[in-house]
Amino acid sequence: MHVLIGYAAVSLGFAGSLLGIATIIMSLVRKQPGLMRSVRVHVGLITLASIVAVVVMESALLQHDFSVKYVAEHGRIGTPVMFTVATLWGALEGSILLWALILVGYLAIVAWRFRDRSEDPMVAWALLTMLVVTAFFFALMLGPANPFISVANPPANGPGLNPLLQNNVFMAFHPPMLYLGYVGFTVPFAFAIGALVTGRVGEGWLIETRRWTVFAWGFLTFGIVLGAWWSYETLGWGGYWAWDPVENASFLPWLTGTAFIHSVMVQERRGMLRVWNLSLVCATFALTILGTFLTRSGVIASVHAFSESGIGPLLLGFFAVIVAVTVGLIGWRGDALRSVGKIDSPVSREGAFLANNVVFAAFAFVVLLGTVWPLIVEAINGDRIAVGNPFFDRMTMPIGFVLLFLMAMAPVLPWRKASGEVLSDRLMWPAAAGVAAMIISLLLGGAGWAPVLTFGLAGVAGGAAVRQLFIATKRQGWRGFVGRTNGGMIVHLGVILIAVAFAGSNAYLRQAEFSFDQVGDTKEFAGHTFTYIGDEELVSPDGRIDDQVLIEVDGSLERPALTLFPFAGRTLGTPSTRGSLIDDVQLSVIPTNEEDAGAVIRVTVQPLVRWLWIGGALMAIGTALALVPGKRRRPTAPTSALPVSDDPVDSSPDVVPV
Amino acid sequence: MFSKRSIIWLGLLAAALSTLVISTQVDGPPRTNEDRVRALSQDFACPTCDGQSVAESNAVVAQEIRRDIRRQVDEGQTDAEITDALVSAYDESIDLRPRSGGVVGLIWIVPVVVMVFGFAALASVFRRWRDTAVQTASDDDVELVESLRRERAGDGSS
Repeated sequence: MHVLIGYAAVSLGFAGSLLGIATIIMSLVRKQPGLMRSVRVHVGLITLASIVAVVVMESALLQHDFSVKYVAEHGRIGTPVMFTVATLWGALEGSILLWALILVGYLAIVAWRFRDRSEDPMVAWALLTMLVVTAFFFALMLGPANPFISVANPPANGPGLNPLLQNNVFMAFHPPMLYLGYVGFTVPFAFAIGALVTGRVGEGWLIETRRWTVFAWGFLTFGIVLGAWWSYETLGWGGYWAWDPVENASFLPWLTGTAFIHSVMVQERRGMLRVWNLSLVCATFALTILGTFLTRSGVIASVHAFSESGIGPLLLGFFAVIVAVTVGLIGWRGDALRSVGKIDSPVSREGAFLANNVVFAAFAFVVLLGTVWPLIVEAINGDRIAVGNPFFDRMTMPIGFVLLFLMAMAPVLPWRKASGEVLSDRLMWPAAAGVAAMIISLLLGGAGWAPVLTFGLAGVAGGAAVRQLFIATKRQGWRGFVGRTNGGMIVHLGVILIAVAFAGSNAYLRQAEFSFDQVGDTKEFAGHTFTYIGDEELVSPDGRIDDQVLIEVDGSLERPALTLFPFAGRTLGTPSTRGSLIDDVQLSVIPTNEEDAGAVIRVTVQPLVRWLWIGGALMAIGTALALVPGKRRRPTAPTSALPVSDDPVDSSPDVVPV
Repeated sequence: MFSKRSIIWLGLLAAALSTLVISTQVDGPPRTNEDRVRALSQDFACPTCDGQSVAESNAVVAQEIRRDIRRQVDEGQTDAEITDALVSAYDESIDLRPRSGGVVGLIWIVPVVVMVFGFAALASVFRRWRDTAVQTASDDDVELVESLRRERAGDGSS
């Protein structure tokens, strides 16, 4: 039953997308804008179809309908409800289904938001682009990534999700957040295509899509930070970012998206960088597809990667089409895209944004290169090599310093041209804050030039951001915290906290392994005391068995454990983390072969880690504040403004033209 | 003669530089052997687990390699010696640090070239912008813009 309804819904979604595409093409070719009204019906149909498909899958998962192959392979009776719901995005087919749902959500909102302008060719082309992408994802589900396949002999129970994904609540939130980000970049991409095709490559499409981009970017940021947190809490190795191919795949569109969010301001202000901005928007979207290809096709091995499937060639083909279409369109519109303006001085806000873009592009290039290099080398001479931490750390550190430096300078730089006097005036306090940060870090025991320089630059950048917020709130009250610039400064403060946390937690991490032989054994390490209290076994209702080791850390009880998942035949570590704003103490139980009493514990003491999550939260808050409309409103052309009525009661809705 | 302002700036600069110099001389917390083991184990891929380093993974092989590194660190071997030992015991694909020679080594050079090229392009663009003479509108241009504006205003559409 589930299979039947689910597959019917997916088919309906695919058919609806094709109908919508055909209708828009007809409307554009025959110059009958009226046809666009019926596209609303198609979008409604697709929305219904995707909701039904997801509801059916969730219902199959919750009812443990093992006649559905996806449920039989990934579901299990006894899995807590939250993880059963999350099983939807725990494997390939379901994650494509979630992707489609979110994509259709964006499609529906765009169609509704622009319902009064559906006859505008640019909107028509944008909707067409989104429908093509939607059709592609529904096609994936009809073909190689079909979530609704029936099983002839349903098993009595399934194996359940990968235990690693069941060990932490973040699993329930991290993928949907990430997908809201990834998929959201479809909207600016669609409008970029619309602008290119209609030739309206001015600033109009940017203003339409700016918010969407920031919205998607905010969720992507949030999703990445949640992923790092998950990694930190679950794996218990004292790290949060491993340059894993899937992490890189999510980081790549973040980098180009961040570059775009900055360079778009140059275009709005000065009408420049049109080709560059269009390329960035298209590259960001293309990278989300490339990332999905790299990580979902089995070409690159990764802990995140799902099992191999046939969707690889399709995704690669789709990626190639996107690149070919955008490169072709940008080439075709080359003349119209040539900008007239020029930048007066490199020492100006726009000069800093330009440098920022070069650095972000280089950053993205380094990450992409490191991710695909093993593939390239194997293709060239057949050698199997690996690229990991040492490469990425060494290459990205200087880039990080340059970005921090730019983040310190740009907010105090005026547009057009900065005089030495203005600069010295505005930079004095931030610079003093930076020097103070360096001296304080040294007094608190900081060592090594790299972290101390990071703290210094962070101080200057923080000073520059606070200065902007201070001036804005003095002038506008609480409105000094909202709007793009001020919200952006709060995002900067979040990034600065993250930079400080990176530097502190990497440079001053301390790790040691202790074996506790008897109850009462006490060890001292990195300013903390650890006392072994005993062991305890805990059986959870879902069947997992926690072998807990009770350790008192500075007087409070912690329970790191080895968790056995009998249904999956795997044992995982469940570390305990106890932290403060100063440092985190993480305990992991090291499995030993000996049966006798006692335990081996790996202790990781990491300063300032907590600021990573605080910084992430601040970035999310800043993004939300940046989305609140600031004081500047979109100007209404006088000729299209409504006639002002003397009596406010009279200007009731019936005068408002629809 | 220095202004008050430039004296403050010089002071800040001197303070920043001396702090940096001091920071290179200060000894951090003592590094335990485990600190070294952890740093090293991040540089090696766990052979059986997809894309995880030895540091992250809790697979049996990863634990074995960690123990191996631990033993060699305790014996006082250098990082290079440990790397050589592990690569010969397993495979080159275990080393997450790409070699610096041959095709593989290009990965260290290409990004630097790209970055140098990027900044050179940026510099040349700025130079071109600077060298473009400031263009002043001729009377004809002004008249053209004015007539277009009148036309637009009379048109009634925005």
